[in-house]
Amino acid sequence: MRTRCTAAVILAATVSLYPPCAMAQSWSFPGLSNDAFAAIATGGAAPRRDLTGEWDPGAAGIAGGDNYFNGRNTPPFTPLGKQMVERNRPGHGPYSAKVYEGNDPLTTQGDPSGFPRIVNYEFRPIRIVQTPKAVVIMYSFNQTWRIIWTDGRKLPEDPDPRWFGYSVGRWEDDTTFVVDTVGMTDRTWIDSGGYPHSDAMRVQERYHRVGMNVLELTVTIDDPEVYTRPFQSRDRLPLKRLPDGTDFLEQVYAASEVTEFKSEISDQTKTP
Amino acid sequence: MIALVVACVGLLSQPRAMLAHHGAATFDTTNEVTLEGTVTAWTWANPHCILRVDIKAADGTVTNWSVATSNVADVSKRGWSRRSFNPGDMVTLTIQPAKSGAPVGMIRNVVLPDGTKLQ
Repeated sequence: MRTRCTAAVILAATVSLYPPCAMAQSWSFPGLSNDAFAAIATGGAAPRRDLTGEWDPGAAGIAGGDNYFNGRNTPPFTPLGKQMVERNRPGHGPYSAKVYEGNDPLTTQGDPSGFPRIVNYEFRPIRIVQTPKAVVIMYSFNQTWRIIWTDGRKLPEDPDPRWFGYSVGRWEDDTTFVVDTVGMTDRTWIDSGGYPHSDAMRVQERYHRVGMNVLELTVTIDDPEVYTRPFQSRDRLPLKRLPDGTDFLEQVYAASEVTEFKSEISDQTKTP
Repeated sequence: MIALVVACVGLLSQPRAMLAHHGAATFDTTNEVTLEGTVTAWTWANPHCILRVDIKAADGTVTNWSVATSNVADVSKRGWSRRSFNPGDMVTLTIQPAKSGAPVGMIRNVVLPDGTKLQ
């Protein structure tokens, strides 16, 4: 009996410490299945001030269709916000348009997701690298990256808008990394529901490593020009740790492929 | 070759995220259409992979349909690959057609010559 109990404890400890490793040393991993995602437990204690590794947000990260917040958390628009959202023709949510009317900059034109859309929609597996001066997040979706400076610099006061903004980060405690970002171009949406933002938007991300295998992300959007109060687009979204050395599928929305789908499929859905 | 079998079966268990990037308002999500035909091309791409299939009608007229599935990452998880189809393959498609009547639609599933069903 004691032997069986000991074996069970060792097995449970092993399972809780290490995520499935079937995808290690293989190529083009597309992301965890729902069952594999659910099977990864929190694991042992989180290492101190360390986000390094490969992480998968699972199905909630992808967040297409009805799975997405699509305005569930958004506060009322300002007058400017109302004007901006009326120009958008998204594929999802309360402002959905017909497919052939769509003007989603990502899915109909091949524009970059930009930030924070990259963490709100099609948030696929990421790789995080830490250096003495920065944390680098590399996104498998659209094969892009952000640099979050940790060298003590201040955010720019009047930045030229960029697709992914300007980011600085700091450790709030040994397991919580806080990122502040400004300077995002208003050409991007914050999601697939056509929710707009201004160049004045500020975004805060909180990465809380709750254990060896789980990292939780909370995203707070503050854009007083467009929304009447701050809101969270992600509330403790769990990311599960993948085995070291996981090679990600390249998932690029190339403009040529996006426009091919638009002309060959979307545009043909218009009733004469 | 059977041209067209229309089956009004309502909303069944649709594979998740099939329409992940585009609203479904202009596709007939209440109907399914089953088509048999010959693959002419298969594009492994984002945001949707596209399969082109020649469908012969009862009067002998051939129409080339373009039907789409989800993105590369999602269908990879369900067993699809860039090698799933070759020109000349005979396939049976179940799709949700466009309401416009154009020969386009979204794929619900495809049955390959060996009986393998991709969805």
